Amino acid sequence: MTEHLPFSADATLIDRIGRELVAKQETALVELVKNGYDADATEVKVTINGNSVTIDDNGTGMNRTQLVEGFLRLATSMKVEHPVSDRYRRPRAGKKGIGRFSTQRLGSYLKLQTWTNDAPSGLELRVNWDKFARGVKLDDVTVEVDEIPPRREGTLIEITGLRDEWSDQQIKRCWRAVRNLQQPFPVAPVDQRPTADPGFEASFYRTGELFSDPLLVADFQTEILDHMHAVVEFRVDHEGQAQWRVSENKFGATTSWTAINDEAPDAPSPPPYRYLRSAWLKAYYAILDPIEFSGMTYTRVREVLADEGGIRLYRNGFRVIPYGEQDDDWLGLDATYVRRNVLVPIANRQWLGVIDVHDPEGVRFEEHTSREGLIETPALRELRSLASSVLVTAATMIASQRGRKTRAGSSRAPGAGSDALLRRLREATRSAHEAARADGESLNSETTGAVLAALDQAESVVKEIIAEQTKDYADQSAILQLLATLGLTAAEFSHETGMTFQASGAVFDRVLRVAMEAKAGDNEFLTSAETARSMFERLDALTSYLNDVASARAARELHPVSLSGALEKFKRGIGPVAEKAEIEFEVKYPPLDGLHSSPMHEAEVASILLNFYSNSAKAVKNITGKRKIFVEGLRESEEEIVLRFSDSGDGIAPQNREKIFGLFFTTRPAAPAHSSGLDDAIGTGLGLWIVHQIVNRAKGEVEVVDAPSGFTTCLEVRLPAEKETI
Amino acid sequence: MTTWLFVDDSSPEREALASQIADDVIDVKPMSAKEARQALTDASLKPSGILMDIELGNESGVVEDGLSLAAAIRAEQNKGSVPAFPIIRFSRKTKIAEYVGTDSSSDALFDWACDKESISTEPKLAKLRGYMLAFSEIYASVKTAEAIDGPVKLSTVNWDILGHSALSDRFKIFDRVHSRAGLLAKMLVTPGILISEDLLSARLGIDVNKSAGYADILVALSDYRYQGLGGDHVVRWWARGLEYWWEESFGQDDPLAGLSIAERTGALKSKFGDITPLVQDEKSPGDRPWRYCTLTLEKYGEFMSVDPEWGVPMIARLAHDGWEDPLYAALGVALQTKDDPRLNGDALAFLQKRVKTAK
Repeated sequence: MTEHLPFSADATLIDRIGRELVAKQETALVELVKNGYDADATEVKVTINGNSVTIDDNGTGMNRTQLVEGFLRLATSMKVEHPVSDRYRRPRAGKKGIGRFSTQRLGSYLKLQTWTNDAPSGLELRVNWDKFARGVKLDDVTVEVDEIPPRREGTLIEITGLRDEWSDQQIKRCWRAVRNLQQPFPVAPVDQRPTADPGFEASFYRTGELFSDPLLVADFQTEILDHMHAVVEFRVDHEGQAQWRVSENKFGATTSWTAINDEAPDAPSPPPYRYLRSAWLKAYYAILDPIEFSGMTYTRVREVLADEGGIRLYRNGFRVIPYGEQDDDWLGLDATYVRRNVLVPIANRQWLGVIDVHDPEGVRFEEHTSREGLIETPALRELRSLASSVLVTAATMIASQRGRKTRAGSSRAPGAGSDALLRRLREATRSAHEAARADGESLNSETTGAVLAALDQAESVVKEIIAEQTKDYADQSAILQLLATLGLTAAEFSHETGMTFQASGAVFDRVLRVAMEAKAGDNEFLTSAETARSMFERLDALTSYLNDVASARAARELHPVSLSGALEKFKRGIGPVAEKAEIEFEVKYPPLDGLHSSPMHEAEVASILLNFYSNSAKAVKNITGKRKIFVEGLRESEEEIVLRFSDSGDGIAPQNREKIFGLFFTTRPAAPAHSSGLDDAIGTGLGLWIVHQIVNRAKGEVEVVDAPSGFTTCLEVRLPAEKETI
Repeated sequence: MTTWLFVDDSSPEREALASQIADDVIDVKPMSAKEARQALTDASLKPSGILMDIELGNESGVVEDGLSLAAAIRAEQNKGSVPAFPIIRFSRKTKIAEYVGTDSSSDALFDWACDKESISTEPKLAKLRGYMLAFSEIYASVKTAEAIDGPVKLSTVNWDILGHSALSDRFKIFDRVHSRAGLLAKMLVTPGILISEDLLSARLGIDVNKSAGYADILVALSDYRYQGLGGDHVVRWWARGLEYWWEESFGQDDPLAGLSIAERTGALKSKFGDITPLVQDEKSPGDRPWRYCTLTLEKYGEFMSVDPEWGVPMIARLAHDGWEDPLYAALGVALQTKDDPRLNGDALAFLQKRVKTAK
């Protein structure tokens, strides 16, 4: 006769399973926090208090069935059958069925209280893990369950008789482990996301023996976010109107909400986006340079950003994978930075950000059926462009402000940091002198000691200065090398494509002629054809000018450059371009004075003119009145020649007059990261800095001066004149 | 229909430019250097002329450049194994700077030099076509046993008045068709015996765009229009003829060159009515325009008249023949490019000082 016998287990099996499954106490605590996340809690508060730990969440709690099935039945399949949470559809974070063992791993006594919204009372489960001892049958050990008075929904776990000590470091490790579960910070207004996952926040507290108030020992805000250098935001309303701002900035002033449309960067009133609606960005930005952080903070922030840096995307409050995951460069930030199209640090590892889009109907942002990202809709494309444009613009602005603060060599006056160091050096030297004067008797006297100490101090200060200056020069040298490379590449490009361009022109002309003959009676076509021809001629004039500038690279030696000659070429090359932009363009110089400068490169003068024109052309697009540019070269004296570049654009704000020649300073939104190389060059904040470098090198000056009547802006360059040989 | 070869090492570009240059009377056959050499060697093509690029190295298997190919063709023409035809150097400015620079030794190989960049506008393209047709005609018509008055269609007496013995003497010496034709082509291209209409109007001191009476002046001057070989395609006037006409018309003792613009136009108004005086460019001071600014023509392809009293003399690339006008640069333009070694530095310094003194 066949007998059917059940397995029986020794109660100590529970203890062994717990220890095998959950080796580390931090893992155990993290699992319990994750259980709160899986229960749709928005807050989990962990308090370690002497010999106990409590984990209090505001999740949906458990009813009796869930408690019994989920807690008392080993190897439950509940999390497999319900892979996402009920309320916020969170992917289950907790591992299958190890929560109960975690409580056992942490301490000898468990009290679990849980409340749901639809039950009149709560439930309390108590487990004394010490009962699960060797020699006792598992079936003989019971746990206690009682009904308890109602409370807000959630679960409160209290574990006493802790098996281990808890250090601050261990608590922090726990906190970092659960941080990935949460949307780092709220972004979209609450009313835009009523059904959205409102986020998840885990806080860890420790109550000291002498203090009754809990002491916050670890929190995302204090650990990471408080140390980031800036906060950049944008918002797109339900009509597609976008605005952006820098709401926090450790290197300079913040900015208020400013309208933006990266597709119309020069528009005085940027139009709304065509497809994008209801989107919000909040991104924390850090410059990963040890000198910008204190103590160990740098390492911590760098590590966190290395793992989690990037801009995550949430749709209707739910995380959309893979956007913002490691190795996902959906905004093209890494690619742009690696290509060095943008010089300021803008890689994903510099950012910790969230974009929230609200699209409950799924009409603008639609998920792939595989749930791997969104379908490439026009709205998503616009979102990408806007986001990368805002991030690059903000980073450029911040780099400009940081540059002024730290880069002594990048402006006419040494930076504030260098001034302070020099002052310290002078003070140290003075101390040394004073101490030396007071000395005179014995080398071992106190005053001699003071002299030596002062000299040591002086030496260390000098070393600091040298180190700082070296770093500054290295930075600038790297930028200049890059610019030189770009310049050479541009020159080669222009050289190599010149013939192709002309050949294209020839073919174009031929095609146009044939077409015009064939459609001789079609006035509308003939008008269009004439327009096309005149556009090509303008392009030809500009190309010829740029080729001429590029060919000047062959002249490596410095020699006096005729400002009059440069202005004549500039007028011929740029005049047609200005005409196309409906700009009244006048270039004036004395007809019988070459206006020769002290030795320079001819291409440098052309570069000054092109940079000025580029800025002016943008500035005059922002006005409704007459667009005018007036360029004048003149001789101020035997020793000095002057270039004045005036326009009737929207002007330079008084507070920016001193800043515009700084590295990376720009008031224009940057091109999106995925844009063409040509657009990349616009709004980089490099143009006027380059002008400043050129003029400085020629021992001249450049500044914003009062504009002549009828104009709003005037940039003036003063260059030493060539010494007369006659 | 005249057929020219365009020798260039880049296939799509030579095709494109060839189609741009070609018109109803000029056929341009784009060819690689290898193809051109082969066609000339086996006489499968008898071109009216060649447009020769300088750089030919982008074509695989070709090691020569346009200069050496042109020299080889001229050598063959000397031997008589290749018929005489004109060669125009047709290259980009950057390539000219690279291959030629200031060395003028190769200049004589070519009848004219044209920058590729310059033909992007219709007037400059028309100028190239005009020269192509004129040169073709000259090369096709010139004979080795003929005095110069034949091809220029003047009587011997008139040549003695309007021409120049330095040119006719040289013409006599040359015993090859291509060298004789080259001399006549040079006469068309280089101001001296003949002048262009730009120079004609400058010497008259007239703003042609604002002078209705100018058309009548041209009619009155028609006896002095060049009617010789190439004259149908390139409008030229006998330079001395203008001066004779002036003396005949106005009977003045002062030669035309010595009169100011106001004096010239004052006289013209009396006979031709609506005449507007020329306004000299601010960069070209003086009021007795007689020459033109070589630098402005080179750089921008534009004509700017120069009063020699205020012009900066320039050294010609090749030894100057007696019949050629001296070269000048307008003072203002010279001051912008004063490092150009062709400029006469002493004259420039003198004029610069003169400007300062005048202030």
